[in-house]
Amino acid sequence: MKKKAGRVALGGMLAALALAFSFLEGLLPPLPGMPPGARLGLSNIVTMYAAGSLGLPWGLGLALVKGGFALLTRGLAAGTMSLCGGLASTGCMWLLLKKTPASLGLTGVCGALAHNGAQLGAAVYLTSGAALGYVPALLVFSLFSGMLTGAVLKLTLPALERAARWLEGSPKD
Amino acid sequence: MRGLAGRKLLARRELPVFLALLLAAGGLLLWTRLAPSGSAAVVEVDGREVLRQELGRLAGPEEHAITGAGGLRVTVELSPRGARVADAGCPDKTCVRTGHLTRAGQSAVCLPGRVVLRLEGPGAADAETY
Repeated sequence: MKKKAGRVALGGMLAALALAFSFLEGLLPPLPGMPPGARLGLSNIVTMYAAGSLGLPWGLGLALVKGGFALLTRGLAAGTMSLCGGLASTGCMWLLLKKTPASLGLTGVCGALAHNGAQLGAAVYLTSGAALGYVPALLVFSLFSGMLTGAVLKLTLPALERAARWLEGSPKD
Repeated sequence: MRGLAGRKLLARRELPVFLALLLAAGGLLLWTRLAPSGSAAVVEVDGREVLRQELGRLAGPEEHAITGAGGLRVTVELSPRGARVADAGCPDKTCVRTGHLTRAGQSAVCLPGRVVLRLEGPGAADAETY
């Protein structure tokens, strides 16, 4: 019982963390030389941890929460884009973490590529193929932001796992 | 499969994957930088072309007000040197921040209004038939 309640608490904490990252990212100025609207994707750190440690349903749940937050605060277009990107990247990272021995860096990069690819697909569907002009810049940006995601998760993982163990009440996960 | 904690940040065996991605990214960037200058500006709303202007025929900058999906107002500025979205009625203003488009194939997309501003190069009349 305690384990289940602890896991729900952990899920809530991760959702709050993802939303805080999304909000903070929105305050950053546009990155020079990068495609406008490109975000660092810091909240992907949280979905990556959830997909890798708690399982796919938790990761997808967090992507849904993030999409809902974007919908409420930034409108329908941003909500749709966030949802498409979040679900695709979570699915991709979960596959890599469950089925392959991929490093955290590669997982982050592939997650960012899936995120941007799905968003580009949604943009092309909503407008026209002109959005494909963003492909080169997004590819470069995915490499950079994906590595950042992997590196930050590597650094924060011990603390996250300690918090998870404490909340779930087991001495060793 | 190994848990998160047992994984490295980078693995040597993944080097070819990273190299391939870097090469693809560099190649694509170079390709866009080498694209010819845009000779015509095209504005689309919801996939339908609403404005086409040969940039060489303009004497100076001129502004056009476009009404996008949901009545969203987007102002585009066309000049002999290129085109940009000067103003948009949405909160994100991603299309405005895209800045000045000068090369063929470049585009500024306003998703909430479903408005696309893109440049075509000389002899690229078929580029819009996706």
